[in-house]
Amino acid sequence: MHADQKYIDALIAHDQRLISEIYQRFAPGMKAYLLSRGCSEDDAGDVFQEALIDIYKLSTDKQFVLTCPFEAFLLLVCKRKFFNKTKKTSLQLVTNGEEDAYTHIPGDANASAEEHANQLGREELVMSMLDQMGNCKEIILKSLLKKPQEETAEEMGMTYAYFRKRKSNCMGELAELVRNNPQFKSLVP
Amino acid sequence: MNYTLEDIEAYLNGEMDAVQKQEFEQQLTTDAQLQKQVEELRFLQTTIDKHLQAEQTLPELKKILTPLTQTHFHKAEQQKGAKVISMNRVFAAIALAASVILIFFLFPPGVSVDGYPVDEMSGAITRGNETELAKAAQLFNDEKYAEAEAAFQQLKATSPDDATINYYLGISLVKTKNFKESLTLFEALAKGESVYKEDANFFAALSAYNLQQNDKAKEYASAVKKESKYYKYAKAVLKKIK
Repeated sequence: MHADQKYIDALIAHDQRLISEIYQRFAPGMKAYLLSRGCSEDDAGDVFQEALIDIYKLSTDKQFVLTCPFEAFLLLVCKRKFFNKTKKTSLQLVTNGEEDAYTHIPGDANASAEEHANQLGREELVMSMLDQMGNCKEIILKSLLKKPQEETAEEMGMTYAYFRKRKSNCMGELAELVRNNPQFKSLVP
Repeated sequence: MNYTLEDIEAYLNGEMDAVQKQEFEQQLTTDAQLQKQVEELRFLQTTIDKHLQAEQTLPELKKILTPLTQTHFHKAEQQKGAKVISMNRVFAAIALAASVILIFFLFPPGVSVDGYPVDEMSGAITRGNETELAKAAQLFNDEKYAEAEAAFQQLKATSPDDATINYYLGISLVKTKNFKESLTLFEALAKGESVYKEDANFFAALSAYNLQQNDKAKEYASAVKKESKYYKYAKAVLKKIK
């Protein structure tokens, strides 16, 4: 575990003082980096905040263990987020002549950061695929609520047995979607 | 035995009785396909569960993040809201700017090696935020470089590898003409992978130039990329040492 795990714990615990420290220590650098890549100040703020939220979602079950400096991980998440933004919009990416400045990160710390960022990417893909599953999404989400499944089945107008069957089928569909997604495959170690 | 997805879910959710569980786990030790399916479903369940939990508590976190993002990234908007400038002052500013442009047009200056811009450091003192780093940032932004240098040196003692501290300490050292120390810092930053890597090339070149280490100055100045705001100043360094 890296000493910067404190920042992960701070996000989970909503620790205002340490979260403030995250901004003081890392926002100037990330901002300078993103602006140098053609990002506007507003977009840079969005990218930074969304990156912190993604890291929060990744670690909220308290199982995530940071094994590299927080800055290396955050930088990589910001880079990928900004790269995705440029793909979705007409924003021009300034690459400073490097062919792919967003994924080529040498060194032990950066390899570790890349594995963390890949884990985050895999989880985001699962959630985005679930979002596209209509009725199945509802069944999966309701099945994970902390209340008796029989009650949930009844609320949805199904027998418990049918609800379980539908839920299993939906999870199977999701598993297949994830398994066959090329982007997901590229994020698997 | 062929297990269905329902069976695997029952196993993962602890819904099997002791005998069923034992049989399932026995097969799990030898059946690679089953192992893969279990891992796949476990990953999906934990991911969705975790993200659901996070969504519930996210609004609270956003209450902390949003003002901080505003403070650190949307300076222009803040200033807009904070200052009321009279029209006379606006016209005076426009007239001054026009004069400056005219002078520059009539007498175009060369780019000076020392005319480089320095970004303000974010995170300076605000109410409720008086950490040592915030104080150092405030001194730096107030251009009290000798005091900023001392403050950054203290911070460096506890965080020797912090790129932000090293970068702003380096600039403070350049401003106070401690080029030997600044060169060491910027050389390390230029060789590293932090976000300051690109800018560090220019400041390493500038430090080396002031130490009359021309080969080194040339090496770092040449590494400054065209897209960098320091490119023209790096060119000026190269011109000086020719």
